[in-house]
Amino acid sequence: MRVSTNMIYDQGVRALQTQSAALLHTGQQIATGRKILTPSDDPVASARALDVTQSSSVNKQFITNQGYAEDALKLVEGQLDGAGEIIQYARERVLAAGNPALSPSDRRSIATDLRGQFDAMLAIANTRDANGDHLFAGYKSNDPPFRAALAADAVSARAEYDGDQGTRTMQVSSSRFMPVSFGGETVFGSKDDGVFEVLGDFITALEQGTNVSAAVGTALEGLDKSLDRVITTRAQIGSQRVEVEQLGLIGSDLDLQYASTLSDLQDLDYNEAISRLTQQRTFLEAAQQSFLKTTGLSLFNYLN
Amino acid sequence: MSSLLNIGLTGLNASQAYLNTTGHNIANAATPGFHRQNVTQETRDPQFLGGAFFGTGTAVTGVRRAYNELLETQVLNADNRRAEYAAYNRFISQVDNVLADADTGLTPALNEFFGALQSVSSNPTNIAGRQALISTSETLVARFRTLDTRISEISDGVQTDMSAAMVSINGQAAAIAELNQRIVVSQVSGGGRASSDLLDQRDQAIAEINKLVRVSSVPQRDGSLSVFIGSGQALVLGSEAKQLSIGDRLDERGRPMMMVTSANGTSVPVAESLINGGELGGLLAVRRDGMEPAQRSLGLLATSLATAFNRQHALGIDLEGALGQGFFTLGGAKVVPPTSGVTVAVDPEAVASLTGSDYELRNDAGQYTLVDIASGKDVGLAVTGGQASYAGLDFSGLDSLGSGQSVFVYPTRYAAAELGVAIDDPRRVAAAAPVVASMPATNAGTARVTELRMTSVQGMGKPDGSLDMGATSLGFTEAGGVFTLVPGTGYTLVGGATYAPATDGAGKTFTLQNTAGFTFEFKLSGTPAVNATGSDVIDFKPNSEGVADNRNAALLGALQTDKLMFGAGSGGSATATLNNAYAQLVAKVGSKTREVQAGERTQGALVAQATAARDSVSGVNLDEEAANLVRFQQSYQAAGRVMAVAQRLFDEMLAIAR
Repeated sequence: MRVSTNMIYDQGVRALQTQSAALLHTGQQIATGRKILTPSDDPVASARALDVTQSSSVNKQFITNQGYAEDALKLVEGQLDGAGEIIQYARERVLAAGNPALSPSDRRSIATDLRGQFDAMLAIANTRDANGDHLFAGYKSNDPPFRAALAADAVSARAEYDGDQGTRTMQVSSSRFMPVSFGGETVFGSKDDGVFEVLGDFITALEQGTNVSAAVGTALEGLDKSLDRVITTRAQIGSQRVEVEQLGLIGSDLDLQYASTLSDLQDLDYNEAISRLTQQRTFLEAAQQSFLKTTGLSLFNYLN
Repeated sequence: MSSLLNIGLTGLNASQAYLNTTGHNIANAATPGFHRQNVTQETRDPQFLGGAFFGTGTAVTGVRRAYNELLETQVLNADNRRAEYAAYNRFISQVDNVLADADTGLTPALNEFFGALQSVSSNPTNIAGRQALISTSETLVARFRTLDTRISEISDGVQTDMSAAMVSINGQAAAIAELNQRIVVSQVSGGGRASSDLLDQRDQAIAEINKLVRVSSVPQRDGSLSVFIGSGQALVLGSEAKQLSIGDRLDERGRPMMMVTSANGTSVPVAESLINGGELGGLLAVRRDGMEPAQRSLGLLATSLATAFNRQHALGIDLEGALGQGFFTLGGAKVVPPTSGVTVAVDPEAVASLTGSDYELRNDAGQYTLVDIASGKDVGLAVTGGQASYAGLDFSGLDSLGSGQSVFVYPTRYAAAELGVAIDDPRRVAAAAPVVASMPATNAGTARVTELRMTSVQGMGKPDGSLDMGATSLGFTEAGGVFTLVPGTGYTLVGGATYAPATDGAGKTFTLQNTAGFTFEFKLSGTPAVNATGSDVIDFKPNSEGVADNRNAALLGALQTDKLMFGAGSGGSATATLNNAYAQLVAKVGSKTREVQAGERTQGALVAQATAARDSVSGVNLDEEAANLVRFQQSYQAAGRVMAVAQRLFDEMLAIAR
């Protein structure tokens, strides 16, 4: 083929440019540590990386929520422990009050003690969390759910429930909304057989000193029922905490998986890249040498 | 002797011509468009003398360029396509960069926004968390706008380059027109053969135009060349060149149209579809298939997000107990011209059906057509009473469109740019649901209601937003172990009222609707008690002071992973989440960029090959010219020697005579 002088220059320059561009690309990859510099480098992997990024972000949020849920459950658990102890203690005092040998003043002193327990129980029922929300108010968490009141006889102590039956939940996995609050009536019972009513009626009976032995029987039955409710809720919280722990393990496993998937999709294999860089440098140097050698040849060098 | 002198002279002249041409070739070795030139030569007519033909020397018949039309055409074709890909790549690769950038891409902002929503859902009473949701929503909106603005800026760049390309085309067209004139003259004076250098210059001007837009040229008998753009729009006719410009008239995509202006000043629009190839073709293509779809996709994303979010937000109540307001503001679908009386709105219940297409709506004597501008196809619009619905859009006021008139409809194109946040008070975030269910302690059975979910709040809000709902109770009747739900006054059960605990005990969903319109569904489980005096009841009450209720926040949060977009067919279920749709946009632009870059490389290689093939015929080789210099210097010297011999013979003759 006939060769024109321009062809020699054009081809040389083109070779230099191709090699420089490849070298620059590898250099950018090494500088950023990413094998995909723009989506066009690998459109499918880029789109997948966006999806994995979202999955990873959602999973991280669930892990955060698991932490919130764990805190909330621990708080409720602690309060329930307190409520359980009060009921146990009250039960002992009720049994003691049933002793026929007690004098009316002894009974009144037990009644005073039980009044203190009533108030302690009311304080637990109106506990607030770090946000200032009342734990046992259902959705109506702004105001104390239990309000001290009097029964129809205008003597016996009562606690009126102002909360609702709402159960706050936290999303701890893609499909699990975990209850983290319990309506006051679930834990402390409703107007008819609640722990406040049992205590209130028994205190009245003690103070009035009539039918004490019958009142003891009723109170014990009521307190056992109350304790049952606390223990049931306590057991539910226990199993939920186990669940949160397991979800946490799954969550951190997933987190690792997402991170490794993202890394596979985006991150550069440095060994391969550096070896490629060396290769491309050799090619570029060869192209430069070849350009100089070829273009240096001219018949005019020999004419004079 | 005189004939020998003459013969020597013709040789001397021919060598001179060769040396001049060689010099010309060397001087123009690097001139763009130059074809190496050759001297053509033949023997002069012989003389019959003394019974034999004697030669009389040589004659130079012309100077021709080394030119092969087929090879030239190959270069032009390859270069035209390369320029088209290069222009496309120059702009699409910018969009490619913008979409993937972690600082400007949508995914991080979406994740932050929904992360903040999760925090509100976990701690609905926390005002700081609610404020963070509003802040991240503002970030998200800003991200949408930034992306849209960047794409608009890149589109502006396309427009600028189009104008520049047209200026170049006009300049080259004028040059061709002028060269045509000179070539016609040179052809006459050159005995039917025009100057190679003028032809080179004109071919080079054609090559320059060819980089900018695909042209065809038709040689005329007088030597001039007519140049046409696209399918027959004349650009140069003889010595008259027309001018391309961008006019004031808008096309169906709302962009200024290209115009061709003749020397006499009349302008006609050129349809975009007629222009292809070259830089201009690439710019038009990237605007049509790159920028606009990207912008429409972003708008579609913004519309889907805002509409779906607002819809769910409206089904909740805020910290004040008022029904949720719009969370995002949307510019809405645009109709051009806006005075047509036609209105188009996005149907919040059919967001998944939105396509992001632009349309031309036309009325021909009561026959309406809705043409998808990208595909040019009529999608078919069933109009009744001036109203119609198609692909998530509600059309109304169609009867105010006169016969023969048309409007353009841009449902989502401007949505990303016009997206805003409507809420600035954290208390206004509607995290709670408006209705609570409760089971009175007097219930003897185990019936429980869970998963209460609003589906409509129609007629539920007072003008001030507070709830207009009273408490209602749901009772039961029983027959043979199957219960029938008995709604309270003003309520009806939609789609079934029977409940059989034996088979439905795990939970069955019922829908309760108020006469005002508001509706909610709930899941019933357990077994209610019914006896002679009455039955268990379930109370539904307006949610009052339920500040810790996060039910609506959880449903809003679910929108992150819910499939909201790209419904399969009309009214079909959605197939993509918001992030899926964004990833799809990124992949689409990335693939296109990759394809165009590959195309540019391929065409670049083809240009190199074709140019090499052409240059091997037409290009100057300096070594060859150096050899020619030596060769023709020698032939010049030889011819000179011939003349010297003739001179000496003449001297000899004179000496004899002396």
